[in-house]
Amino acid sequence: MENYVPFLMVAFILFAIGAIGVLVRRNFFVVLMSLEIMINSAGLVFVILSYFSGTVSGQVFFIFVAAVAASETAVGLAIAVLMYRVRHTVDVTEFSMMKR
Amino acid sequence: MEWLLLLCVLSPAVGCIINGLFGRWTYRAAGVIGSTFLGISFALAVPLIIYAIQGHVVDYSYYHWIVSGKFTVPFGLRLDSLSAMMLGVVTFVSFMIHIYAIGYMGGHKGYARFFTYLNLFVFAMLLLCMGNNYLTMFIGWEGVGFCSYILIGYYYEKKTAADAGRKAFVTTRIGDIGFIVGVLFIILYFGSVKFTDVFAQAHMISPAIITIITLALFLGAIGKSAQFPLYVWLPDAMEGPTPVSALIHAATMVTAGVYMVARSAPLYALSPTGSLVVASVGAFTALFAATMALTHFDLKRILAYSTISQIGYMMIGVGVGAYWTGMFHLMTHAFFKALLFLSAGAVMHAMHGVLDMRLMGGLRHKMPQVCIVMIIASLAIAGIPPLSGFFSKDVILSEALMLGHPIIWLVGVVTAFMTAFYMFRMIFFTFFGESRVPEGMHPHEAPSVMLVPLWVLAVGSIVIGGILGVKVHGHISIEHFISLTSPNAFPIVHKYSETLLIIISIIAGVLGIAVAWLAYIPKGAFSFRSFVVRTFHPLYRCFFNLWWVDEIYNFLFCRPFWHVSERFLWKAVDVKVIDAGVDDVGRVAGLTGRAVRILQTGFINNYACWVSAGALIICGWYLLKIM
Amino acid sequence: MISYSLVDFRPIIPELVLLFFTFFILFIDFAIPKAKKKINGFIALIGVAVTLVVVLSLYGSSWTGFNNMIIFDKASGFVNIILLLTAFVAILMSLDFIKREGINFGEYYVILLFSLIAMQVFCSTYNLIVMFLAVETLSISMYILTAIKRDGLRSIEAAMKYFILGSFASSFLVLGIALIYGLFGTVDLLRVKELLTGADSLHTWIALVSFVLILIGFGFKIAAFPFHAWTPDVYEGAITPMSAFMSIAPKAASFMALMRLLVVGMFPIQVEWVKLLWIIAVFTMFFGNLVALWQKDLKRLLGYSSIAHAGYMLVGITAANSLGYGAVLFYLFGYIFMNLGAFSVAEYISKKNVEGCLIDDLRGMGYKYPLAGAAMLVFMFSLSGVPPTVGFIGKYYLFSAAVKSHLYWLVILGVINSAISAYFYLNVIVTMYMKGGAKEEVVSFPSPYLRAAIVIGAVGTIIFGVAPGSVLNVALSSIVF
Repeated sequence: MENYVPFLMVAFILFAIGAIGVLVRRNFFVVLMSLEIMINSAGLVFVILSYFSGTVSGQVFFIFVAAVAASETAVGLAIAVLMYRVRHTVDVTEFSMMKR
Repeated sequence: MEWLLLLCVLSPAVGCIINGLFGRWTYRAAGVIGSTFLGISFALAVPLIIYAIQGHVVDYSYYHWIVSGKFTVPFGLRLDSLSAMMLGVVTFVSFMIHIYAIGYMGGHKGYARFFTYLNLFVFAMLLLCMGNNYLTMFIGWEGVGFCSYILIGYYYEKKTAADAGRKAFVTTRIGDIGFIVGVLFIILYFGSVKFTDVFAQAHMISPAIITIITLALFLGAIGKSAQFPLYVWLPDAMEGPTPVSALIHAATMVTAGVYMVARSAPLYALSPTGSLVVASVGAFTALFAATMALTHFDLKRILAYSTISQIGYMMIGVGVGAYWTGMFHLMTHAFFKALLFLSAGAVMHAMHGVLDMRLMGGLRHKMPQVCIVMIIASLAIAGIPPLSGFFSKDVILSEALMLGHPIIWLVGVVTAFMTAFYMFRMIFFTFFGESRVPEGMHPHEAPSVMLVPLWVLAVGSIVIGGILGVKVHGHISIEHFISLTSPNAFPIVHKYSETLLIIISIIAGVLGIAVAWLAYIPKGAFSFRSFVVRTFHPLYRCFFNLWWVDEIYNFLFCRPFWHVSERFLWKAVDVKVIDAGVDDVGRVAGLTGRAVRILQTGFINNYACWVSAGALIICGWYLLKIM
Repeated sequence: MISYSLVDFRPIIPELVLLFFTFFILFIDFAIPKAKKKINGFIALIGVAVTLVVVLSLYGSSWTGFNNMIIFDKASGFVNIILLLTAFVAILMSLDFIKREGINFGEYYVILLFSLIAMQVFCSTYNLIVMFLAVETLSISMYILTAIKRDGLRSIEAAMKYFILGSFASSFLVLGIALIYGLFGTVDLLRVKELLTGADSLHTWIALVSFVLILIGFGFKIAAFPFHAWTPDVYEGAITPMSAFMSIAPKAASFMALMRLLVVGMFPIQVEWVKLLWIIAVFTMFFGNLVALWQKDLKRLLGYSSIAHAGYMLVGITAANSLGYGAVLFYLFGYIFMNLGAFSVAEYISKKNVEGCLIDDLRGMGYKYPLAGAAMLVFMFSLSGVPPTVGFIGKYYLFSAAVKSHLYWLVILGVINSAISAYFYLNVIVTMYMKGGAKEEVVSFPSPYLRAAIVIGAVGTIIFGVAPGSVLNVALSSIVF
C-alpha cells in the first residue's frame, strides 16, 4: 500500500487556502471561489481515500459533492447579481447593516 | 359520570373561547351565547347533584400534568356532597346573573368582552370548587382572582375602577402567598396534593405542622374572602359592573375561602388553634364590617360591607367546626345577596348610575317589583323566619354556642341586630319616604330580562332555607348532606334550648327592623336620629369614617413602600441601572451582554472567523490528545 | 448484488406524497396569473396537510429501504410531524404576506416544499452522504428563500451572509464525512458504530476529529455557539414567514440528525462528546440570552432567543439519556407554537417593505389589538418558561433529564439563563401593556390566515402546556436508540 499522506496533505492545504480565502477576501466572487476550493478539496479527500482503500464508492460520492458544489455556486452567483443590483458593489464588508 | 362532570366544568370555557375569539361578530348574541353555555353547565349539574345526593362520590384524575418520580400533579375533579353543593350554587346563580347581565349590560361598549370574562370566571370558579387536589384548586383560585381583577377594572377608562382593580389584585395577592406556602408545606410533608391522599395521612403529621398549614391556607382565605385585615379591597371592588359585584363579590368568589376551609375540614379538625383563629377572625370581621355598613350612603358599598360581615358569619360556622352551617349560610347568602346586588343594580340602572341613597327615596312607586324583591332579600338577610337567612344564621349561632364559644355567639347576635338595622335603613331610605330624586331623572321599572332572574332568586331566597334547614325526623337534610364529606369537627359541649336561641335571634332581627323604622319613617325620625348621633358622636365618627382603616394602611404600608420605591428603587436602582440599559437582572448580565454583543460585528469575515476558530480550537484540542 | 424492489419505497412515502404536490404546483404555476398565486399556497397547504395525515397514519411503523440508506422509524415520524406542522403555519403566514410584499412567485411554495422534503430526508437516515445531500438541498432552498425579497437591502445581506457561512460550514461537513469514509470505509453510522467500538486509540481520536468536523456542519444548522453568528442577521433580514420557518424546521431536522450522529454513530465515544456538548451548550445559552438583553428589534431578539433555545435543547442531548432525547423532541414540538406565534405577531404589525420589526412598535398593543396582544403575552411567557405553558413543560423535562444524568452544574447554569431570559421576554410584555399608547403608524396586517396562525400558536402553547401528557408520551417513546 502506497503512502497516502502526501496526497492528503495536498487536500488539506487546499482546504486551508480556501478557508483563509473566505476569511480575508472581501470580493464576493473571490469568496465564492474560495468556497469552491474548500468543498472540492474535501471532495479530493474522498477520491484519495477511495483510491487507496480500493473501493469506488468514494469516487461516486465525489460526483455528488461536485454536483452540490455546482448548484451552490449557481445560487451564489444569483446572490452576487442581487448584491450588485441593490448596492452596486460586491464587496462583502459593505453589507454589514445588521449587527450587534 | 366523570366525563359529564368534565363537560359541566368545561362548558363555560367553551363559551369564553367563542365569545373571546368571535366577539367582533357575535356582538349582539354574545350575552345569549354566554348564558347558553352557563345554562348547559347548570343543566349538566342537576344530574350530578342528584348523583351526589344519592351518596355517590366521583373522584377522577383525567391526566397527569407533571410526573416526576412518585410526585404527580394530576388534573382531576371531585364530586362529593360538598362540591356538589358548590356546583349547584355556582352554576345556578351564575346562570341567573348572566341572564340579568344581558339586560343590564345591553348597549355597553365591550359587551362580548364582558361575557368572555364572566364565562372565564365561572370556569375558574368551577375548577376551584371541583378540583380533586390543591393545585387544581390553586389554579382556579388564581383564575378567579385574575378575572375579578379584570372585571373590577372593566370600566378601565375610569381611574377609580383601574385603581380598585389594582388594589384588589395586590391585597388578595398577599393572601395568595399564604395559600402558596400552605400548598408547599402540604407537598413537602404529604408528598401529594390530592385531597384523598392528604386527608388520609393527616393524622400522621405533627399537629404543629398541621396548624402552620391551616393558618397559611387561612391567610389565603382572608385575602380571597375579604376578612379582616385584608377586606379593604372589597368595598372598592364595587367599581365594577353590578352583575360582577353580584356574582364575584357576593355570591361565589368571595365565599371561596369558606369553601376551602370546609374542604380542608380534616386538617382543621386536627388543629383546634387553627379553627379558633378562623372563628375569631370571622366573628370580629362580622361585627366590624357591620358597624361600617351602619352609616354609609352608597347603596353598593353597604352591600359590600354586609357581604364581608356575612362571610364573617360563615367563617364562624366553619371555624367552630360545624362545617355544614358555614356552607349552608354560604348557599342561602348566595341567593339573597345576589338578589340584593341585582336589585341595587336595577335601581342604579333606573337612576342612571346614581348610587347615593340621599338622592333616592320613594322609589317604591316607581319600581314596585324591585322594591318587593329587595324587601324579601332584606328580610332574608335580617334573619326573619321563614326566609332562608333565618335558618342558616340561626344554626351558625346555636352551633357556635353549643360548641363552647359564647362570646362569638354574643357577637353574632349583636351583628344580627345591626344587619337588620342597616338593611332596613337602606330599604326605607331608598324606597320609602319622600322622593329626593333630582330633576330630570325618571326612574322606571326594570325590563323583564332583569326582573325574571330577580324573581327566581327571590323565590330561592324565601324557600331554600326552609327546604334544607328544617329539622325533619330529627335531622336536618343539609347537615346530613354536608357531613358526608365534612363532618362536625368537635363534640358539642353545652346543651341549650333551641327554642330559646331561635327566639333570641328573631328578636335581634325584629328589633333591628323596628329601630330602623323608628329612625327613618315616623314624623319625628329626624330628631331621633340627630339625638342618637349626638349622643354617640365619637362612635358615629368611627363608623362613618370606616375606622380610618384605609388611612391607617396607607400610613403603615403604602407610604413606606412608596418611599422605598421612590427614593431607593427608582432613584438608586432604576435610574442607574435602567439608564445603563438593564434593570433587575443586574448589571453583570447586562454588561457582559454588551461586551459580547460587540462580537456580532455584522462583517461576514468575522463570522467565518468564529466558525474556523471554533473548528480549530475543538479539533486542535483533540489532535493534541493524539500526540 | 444489491437489488431494489417496491418495498424500498415504503420509508419515503411521506416524501413522495409531498413531492407529488410540489411538482403539481410547479406544473400548474405557469397557468396561474400573477394576481392569483394564492392558489399555489392553498395547494401547498393541502399538500402539507395530506402529508401530515399520511405521516400520522404511518406513525409507529419501522421501515428501512434502499440498502439502509433511508429509514422510517418513530423518531423520524415525530420529526416529520414537527416539520409539517411548521410548514403548515409558515404557509398560513405567507399567503397574504408575499402578495403584499410583491414577491408572490409560484416558486416560493415550490422551493419551500423542496426544502421541506430535504428536511424529511435529513431526519430519516443513518447514511452520512444522504445526510449531506439533504442538508445541502435544504440549505440551498433556504438561501433562495432568504433572498426572495430581491430588492430588500437587508434580505440580500442576510442571504449573502447565510450563503457564505452555510457553504463554509458544509465544506467542513464534507471533509468530516470524507475522513470517516477513509477511516471506516463506510458512511453508514450503524456500521461506523460497530467498527468504532473495536477501534484502537489512534483511529478513535481521528474519528473524533472527523466527527467534530461533521458537528460543525450540524452545529451551524442548529445555531450552536460558535457557529451561531448568522442567526440574528438572517432572521432579521429574511421575510418574516421564512424567519419563522427557518427558526424551527431546519433546526428540528438537524437536531434529529445530530442525535442520530451522536447517539448512534458516536456512541462508543460518548464520554468525549458529552464533555464537548456541555461546553457548547453553556456558551450557546449564555451568548443567546446575554446579547438578547440589548436587542431593539423583535425579529433579531427572536434570533438570539433561538440561539439560547438551541442551548437548552443541547442540555437535553448532553444528558445523554432517552428522557433527554425525548425531551428535545417535545421541546421542538412546543417550540413550533410559541416561536411561530411570536413571529406571526411580528408579522401582524409589520410594515410593508420593512424587514425588521421594532419592539417599540408593540407599544400599547395590548389595548389596541387585545387578541394579538394576549397571544403575544402567552408566547413570551412560554418562551421564558412560565407555567402552565408548553415552554415550561419542555424546559422542565430537558432539565430533569440533565438532573437524571447528574449534570447539576449544567442545570444550574440553565436555570440562571432562564432567569436572564425572563428579563427580555417580559420587557416585550411590559412594552405591550405598560409603555403608554399605541403608535399611530403601527397598524395590523389584516390577513385572516395570519390571524389563524396566531390563534394556532396561542392555543397550542396553552393546550400542550396544560395537557402535555399524550404528546409527551409519544415524544418520549419515539426515541428508540
